[in-house]
Amino acid sequence: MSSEGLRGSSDRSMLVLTSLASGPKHGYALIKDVEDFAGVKMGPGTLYGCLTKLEEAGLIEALPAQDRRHPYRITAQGSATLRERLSESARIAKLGLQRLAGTT
Amino acid sequence: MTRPSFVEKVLHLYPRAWRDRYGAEIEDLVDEVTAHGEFSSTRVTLGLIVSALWQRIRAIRPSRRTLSLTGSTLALAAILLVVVTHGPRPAHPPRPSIGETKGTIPASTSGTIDSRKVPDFISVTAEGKTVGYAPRDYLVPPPGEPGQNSPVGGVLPIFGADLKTLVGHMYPGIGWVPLDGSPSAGPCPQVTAIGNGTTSTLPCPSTKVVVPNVVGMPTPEGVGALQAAGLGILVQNGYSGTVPSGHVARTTPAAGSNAFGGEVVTVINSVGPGSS
Repeated sequence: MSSEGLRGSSDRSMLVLTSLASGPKHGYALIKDVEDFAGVKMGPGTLYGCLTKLEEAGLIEALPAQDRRHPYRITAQGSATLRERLSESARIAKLGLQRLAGTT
Repeated sequence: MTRPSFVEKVLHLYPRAWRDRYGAEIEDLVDEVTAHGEFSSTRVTLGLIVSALWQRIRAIRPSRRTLSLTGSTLALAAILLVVVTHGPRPAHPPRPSIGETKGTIPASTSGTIDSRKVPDFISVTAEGKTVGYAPRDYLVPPPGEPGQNSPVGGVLPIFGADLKTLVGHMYPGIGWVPLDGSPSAGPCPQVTAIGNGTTSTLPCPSTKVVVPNVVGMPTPEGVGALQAAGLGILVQNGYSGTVPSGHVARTTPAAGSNAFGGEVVTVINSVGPGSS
């Protein structure tokens, strides 16, 4: 799957990428981090759905397991995709806010 | 081992190739979230089933996807129905949302309440103010007899400052959670709880306790120290890479936190680092 294949896919994948942008994390740390910054509590099934999709798209990669924990890190392609998607969201958010304020 | 036995069964719903790659990891993660009491087993199970269905659909080659979709969807929907209707019961009762009023227990201790009219959770009102929630099935056993689902040491009320955190630890038969968690905020509310149409007076938070540090102690010794401090105990197993098996890996609330007399402390008994 190309990164294009992720277009329009669940925002949860973007939350996972955002979480991994601050460094590698294993499943439980990802759940806690996403819950902290986004208020979204992902279950193990949902999380691994995202991880599968992201790994197939080459946006994240698995690191060697440590103490029964399996960390993942964001790849260069993942960082680029995240940056692109977030910039796009930011542009739309800015435009939307301007329109709501009646300044355009 | 804290892993619920149904997890391995549910994992077989995933495609073989997916299981070979991610199966061990997701089992370890389920162990960890279960040990922390983050999710009810029902929620974990349903999440896994939905995710397994999705992975099965993705595993079908795109050209055949449309044709095969109906069959596999129907098959998995049937499995889902069986698991939902015959599957494990939720570990916790449903959570009320903060501020939601689902009913009122009168401050008077006399009379009976028709339990058929009471929803799953009822708010506990004292002196016109909501002070907490009680599960509908709250049963107060006779003195000296342990209640159903009760922690070690028999039935204890649960008190605490954070309803959002503590309500997950509230089981039918154990207790209620004051909203502000502060017993000094007013006179101890003499409220009643419902058990199959009868009412009983709930115990009252009285003393403030600092949770002692029992991490690293042999678990029975740690439990004894917490009980001696006037705290209730709920022991769960969990993995720890640092604390040897049979010793206390951590507690919730953690050592040094303030607790109320009778508050239930979850003790994670280390079962070692586990095998990778």
